[in-house]
Amino acid sequence: MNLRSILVLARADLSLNRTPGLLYAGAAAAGAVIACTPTGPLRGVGVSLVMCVLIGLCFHLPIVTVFQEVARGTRAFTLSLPVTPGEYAAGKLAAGALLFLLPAGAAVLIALLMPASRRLFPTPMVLLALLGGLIFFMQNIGIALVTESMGVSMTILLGQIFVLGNGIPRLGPHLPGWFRFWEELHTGGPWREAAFALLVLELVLTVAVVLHLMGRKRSFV
Amino acid sequence: MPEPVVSLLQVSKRYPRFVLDPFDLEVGPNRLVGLVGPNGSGKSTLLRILVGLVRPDSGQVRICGHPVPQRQADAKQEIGFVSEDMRLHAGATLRWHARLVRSLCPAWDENRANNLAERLGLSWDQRAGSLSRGQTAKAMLLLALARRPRLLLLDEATAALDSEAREDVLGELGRLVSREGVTVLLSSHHAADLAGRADEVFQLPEGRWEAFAPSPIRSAVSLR
Repeated sequence: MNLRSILVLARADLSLNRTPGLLYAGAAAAGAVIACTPTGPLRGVGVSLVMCVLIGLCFHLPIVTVFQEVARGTRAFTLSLPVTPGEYAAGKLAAGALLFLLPAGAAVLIALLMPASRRLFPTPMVLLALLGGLIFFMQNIGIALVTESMGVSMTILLGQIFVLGNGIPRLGPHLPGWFRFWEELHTGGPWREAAFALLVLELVLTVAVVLHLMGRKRSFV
Repeated sequence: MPEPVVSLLQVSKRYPRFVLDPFDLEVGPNRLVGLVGPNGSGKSTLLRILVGLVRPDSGQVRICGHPVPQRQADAKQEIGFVSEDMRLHAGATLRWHARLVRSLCPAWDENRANNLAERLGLSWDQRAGSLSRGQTAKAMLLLALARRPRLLLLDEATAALDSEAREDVLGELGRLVSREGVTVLLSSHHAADLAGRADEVFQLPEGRWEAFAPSPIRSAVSLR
């Protein structure tokens, strides 16, 4: 793996997607500001706006940076340059991570700059959510890169949204130890540290699996 | 004998409706080699195998001594590839694309790029999305030639050009071969494009290869 090639490819992707990236960041920042208003129903609206922006990004970026490149033939152009498929995928993941962290980071930063009394969630919970969101996003880019199938990618993406958005909130409270786990995520304790460690491990595994599978692909046309 | 630029040993590729039988091929430096055949005969597959876009089912591929796909980044430093199926990023300018290629290819020649842009009538600040099909083909040729490749792979790259531009590009290819020792593999539906220019032409009827020679064959190219 040539780190310089990865950085060049990531920079190219960021350059091509700078306008939507900045628009998403602006929308997410606006959502964070609304979510941190002193009181009232607007706070929920703000959280919802941030979530919508990030979910929209999960659909938008794989389509633009992966599927359109395959369909239009620009991937063949990039892969005709002196790079390996692994470097190409690593560049996409790196650019994707930054394009996710731009709006998500803006929202988190604004939340952290607000007085503690206005925040909806404690800082470690926000950082956990940021890390979880990044993994969710990287997995979707990775699935798109490896399968090249919009049907498969969108099915998995919707499945994840369904499980995370419905399954866990509804089934979680029925699991033994759930309330202790949830409380420790808020207040601190071994479960919070374990959650951070598991998420970091999952992120590393996600990148490793995507790069491995890209190296095994037999066609890029 | 100089090291072959292209060396294929028992390379095969099987698709559901198409089979490229195992074959050997060596192409030495300073050659213009044509590949002709109908759609689906395997011309594009061969060129894609050489540039690492398609992995063969069996056999060994070497470009300028670098095994592909194992050392494909090194091999691709030596290759300029232009395909009719390939496109530039519509929202980016030719200058943006040149910057990307230059960042990855140390052999990029700025003077040659500027000369080619002038000769081909291309503007650096024009967005790729606003280029006609012929202009896109010219832009991709510019990006490939400015890298000073040792091997130029052209997959129907002249198909979109008008007759004047086509003659200009084919003439330029001849000059590259004779003056700079570049090896060119050019696929085309039309054998007439290659008549009098190619050192050797390979015809690919349905995945089985036959060599015929519109001009004298030298020993640097062999098909076994």
